[in-house]
Amino acid sequence: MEITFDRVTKRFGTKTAVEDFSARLPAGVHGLLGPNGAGKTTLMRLMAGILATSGGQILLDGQPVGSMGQSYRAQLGYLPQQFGYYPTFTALDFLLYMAAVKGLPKPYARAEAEELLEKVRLGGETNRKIKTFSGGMKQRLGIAQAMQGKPAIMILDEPTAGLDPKERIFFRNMLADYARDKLVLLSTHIVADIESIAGNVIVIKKGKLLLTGAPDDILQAVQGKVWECSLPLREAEDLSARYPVTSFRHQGNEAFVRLVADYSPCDGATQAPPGLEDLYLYYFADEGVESDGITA
Amino acid sequence: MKRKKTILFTDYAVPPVVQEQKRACVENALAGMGTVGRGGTLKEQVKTQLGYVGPWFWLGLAAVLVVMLVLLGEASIQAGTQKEALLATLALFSASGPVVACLSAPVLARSYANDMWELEEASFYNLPRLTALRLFICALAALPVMTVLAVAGLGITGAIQGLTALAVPFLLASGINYCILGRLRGLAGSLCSIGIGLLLAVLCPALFLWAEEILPLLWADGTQVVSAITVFACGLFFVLSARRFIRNPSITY
Repeated sequence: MEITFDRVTKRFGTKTAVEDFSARLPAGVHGLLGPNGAGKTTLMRLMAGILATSGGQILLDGQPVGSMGQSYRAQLGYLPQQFGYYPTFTALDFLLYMAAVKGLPKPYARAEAEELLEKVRLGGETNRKIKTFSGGMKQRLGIAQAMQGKPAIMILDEPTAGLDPKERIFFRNMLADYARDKLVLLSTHIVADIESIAGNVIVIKKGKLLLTGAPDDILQAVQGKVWECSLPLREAEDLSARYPVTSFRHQGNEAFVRLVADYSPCDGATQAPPGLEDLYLYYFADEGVESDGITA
Repeated sequence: MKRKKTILFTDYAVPPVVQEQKRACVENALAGMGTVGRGGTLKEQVKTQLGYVGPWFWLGLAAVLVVMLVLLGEASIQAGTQKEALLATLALFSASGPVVACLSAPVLARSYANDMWELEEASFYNLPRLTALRLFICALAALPVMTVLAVAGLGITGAIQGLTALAVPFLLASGINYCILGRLRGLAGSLCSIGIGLLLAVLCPALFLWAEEILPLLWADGTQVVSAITVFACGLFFVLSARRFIRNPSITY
């Protein structure tokens, strides 16, 4: 199974959200990385069939998905960024309702709903109303509905938003287990999530593809550009004003600084192995930094 | 093995669609649907949705039928022996059926208000389609009941006339409704659905006149065959348009 974006463009009036985007997504976990407004959500909505492309096409195994109709939709599991729910529904009601919308037979849906609720650790909350759920519980319920019907293609827009670190790790392990022979497109601001489960990373900026490849491969782009040094506090602060800093740690009168720069930023700076956060900062330092997940 | 370096995807050209490959792709997808018991035919989809239709749905449908029965009885008393007036009233009720289908507006409003639309629109059915499928079930359940009522009210000789008066407006109006909605998508589709509902409500008096003037031509003596063919043709149009609408041949709608 392979999804192909072939020069996909999406315009909203005069604004171009996605421009000439081309990429090939074989089975596996693909992490979509980019700052706010980069076009990640638009790209996911295009793939989910919620939006129509303004140009180009999306193909499944070489076939335009627009002509596949229900046979494509049947394979989709989707978790939108703005995940809504009917407040009077219980967790089980919600999953059964979604099963009806997904066209799943009721006996199958009921058994699967109970199994999925157990899987996302909501087994004891089956008959509790969603409006009483915490943010993390709602998110886990959303993940469960995305897995209903065993979709071959999963589109998850910020699935780990609102989850605490323990829940995030649990989710990552669950997804890694689920996605063995499936195609998962995952968007998040939390770089560590992508780093730990995505076999392929797609970096987009202003609606355009910037980089794509295995994490180790795309990190080559910042190889030799990540520096670490310990400096007197004042000098360290000067340095952090001039370069994108991924880590700033006080050590008595000194400070440890990890930053991204094309050349050695100061005497005594040593090169360090790069991570995705360094890569992110290298490309998006001028975009306005998100507080969650970018700075250590 | 050394992995391929970063791919900058700029020189890719999509090969032309190969019909055999497309068929294989869709067959794989359908096989995937089959593994979770999801049917691809309208019959299987109706059967699946019947599992989700609860007692309230049937009670609501029964209540509507009882109201129609009462109103038909009243119309029959008012009309006296004028069979045409009774048939026209029957046709009016029949034609207003699709209006009920368009009254999914509160459901859609609730969906938007609760941010559910995105989740629903990315699913196998979207909300208008699910509503249409439920209406289809309504029609399947109500039409035979209403036909029996019409036949009972009109006598055996008036059976074909009753059936024509009952089925033709309902099937035509529903079919047209499915065709229009099938061309629309997203919020625009939902708003138009409301608009069509309101329009049909306004058109009902016109349909009443139409039924009074045109339908008698179909049930004049010696035209039973024409009537039967008309009902069959309308039925076919209804089923085909419903199937196309519910199966959603286009990924975006």
